[in-house]
Amino acid sequence: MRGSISQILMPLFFLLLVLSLWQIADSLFDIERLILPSPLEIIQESWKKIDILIAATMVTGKAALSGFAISICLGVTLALLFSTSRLAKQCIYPYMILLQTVPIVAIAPLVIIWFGGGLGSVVVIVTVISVFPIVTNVTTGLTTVDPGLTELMQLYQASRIDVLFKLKLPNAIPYLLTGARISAGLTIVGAVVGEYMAGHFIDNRGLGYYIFMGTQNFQVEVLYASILLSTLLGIAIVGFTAVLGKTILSRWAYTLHQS
Amino acid sequence: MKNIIDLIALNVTLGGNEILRNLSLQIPHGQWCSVIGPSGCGKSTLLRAIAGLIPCQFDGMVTEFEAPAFVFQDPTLMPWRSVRENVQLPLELSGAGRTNDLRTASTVVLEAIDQVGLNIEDLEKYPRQLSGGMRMRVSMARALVTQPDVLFMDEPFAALDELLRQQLNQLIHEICSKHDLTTLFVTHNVSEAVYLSDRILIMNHHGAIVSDLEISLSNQREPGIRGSAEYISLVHQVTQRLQEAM
Repeated sequence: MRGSISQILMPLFFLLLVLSLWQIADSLFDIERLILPSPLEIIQESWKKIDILIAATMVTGKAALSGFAISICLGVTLALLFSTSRLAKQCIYPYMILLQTVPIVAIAPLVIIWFGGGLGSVVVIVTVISVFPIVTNVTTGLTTVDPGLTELMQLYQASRIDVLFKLKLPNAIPYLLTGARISAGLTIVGAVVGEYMAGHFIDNRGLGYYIFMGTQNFQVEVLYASILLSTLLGIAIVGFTAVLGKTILSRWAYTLHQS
Repeated sequence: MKNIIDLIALNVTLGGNEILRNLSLQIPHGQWCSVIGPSGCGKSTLLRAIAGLIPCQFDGMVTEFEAPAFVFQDPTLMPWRSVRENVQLPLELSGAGRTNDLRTASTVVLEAIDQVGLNIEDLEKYPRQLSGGMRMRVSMARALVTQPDVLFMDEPFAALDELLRQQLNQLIHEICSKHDLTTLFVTHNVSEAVYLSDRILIMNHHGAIVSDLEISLSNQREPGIRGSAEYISLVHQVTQRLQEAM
């Protein structure tokens, strides 16, 4: 108990220390506001725009979660295709891996050209960046089944549907959750990059747009606040996915322990 | 007695390697037949070939069984299923678990659980909550739930300690005798093979059966027999034959 309290208190104490030193340094050395505004200035300026910033956080969160949901559906579908068709896997899977290495900022302009500069493009960018960990992990989960269990299904002449629903899909759940945990962090990256590039076409503007405008208009306080909020949003999505995964995975603990 | 398994010139080649060559074997109904031999000689392959789990070539293969069951070396339980759900799996695959036979299926599961010495309180537990011995009992219950006529066992007790191994030897033998099951049993343990079997087959490195021994111990399955001169002599004799095969 004491350990878990100190695990929370110590980083908070360190954060408080850094913020205090930052504030003191700003007062002592009179640092240019454009280079580094003080924590108090950031809080004051952000507070004035709190409604806009909260609305922007909601927009970014919505884009991230929509892309995340599509990634899970698309990723599982592709993984099912790859696990059942060797031909499909041989033809497409290498390109999936290859596409994963292309930087998202290089792909984003193409997506905006194809899908227009709106929320749709942002969701597509989120999907593109977050689908790969799900495809690769779920494909592994569907194909690396305990050979003994496969033989058991064979012995009892299980249908392909039974093999899929009673063996392969449950076996892939821990892998899906691992992939989802990795993807969850990437969704915010995708959403902010998408909004940074296409956000000004949208009526409801997200944090990426305010990061872009904060830089363009030298509103550094807004820039800092947007960075902080997008980080907190990322932590919330990753945290929620991790807790959900841990709850579901309690059934799979033996398998994970063994592996 | 009628043969439940009748193989003529069985050949199995896996990944370009010839595992079993020209192997012929007859196993009568109700017999407990153990297969021993050096590692990699094809004992497990023989079991899998007869159970239809791997492709094989043969001049003749008559298998008179309708409901085979398999107990693997590892318990091979689904970690996401409770004990009840694991034991029930073969019934679900045969359709019994999802029709109006549900009540019957539930009764059969309880009977199987009871037979292998598990408690009703264990039914809703998950494999990770069970000891190695209990997991193996669940695996045995799952094999018995379909009321099989042939039981294939591939070194099921290899990972267990000696005391537990002897307890489970006794238990599975009682069950097989009670239900008149034909059993094909692979083991590395000569003492276990002698204790359980009506017949022991010894295989050599080339995937051939080099000895076929009838075991006729008096009061064979009384635990006390393990200390008798007759039993010890038989274990010694089989061990010698096994060493010759290596």
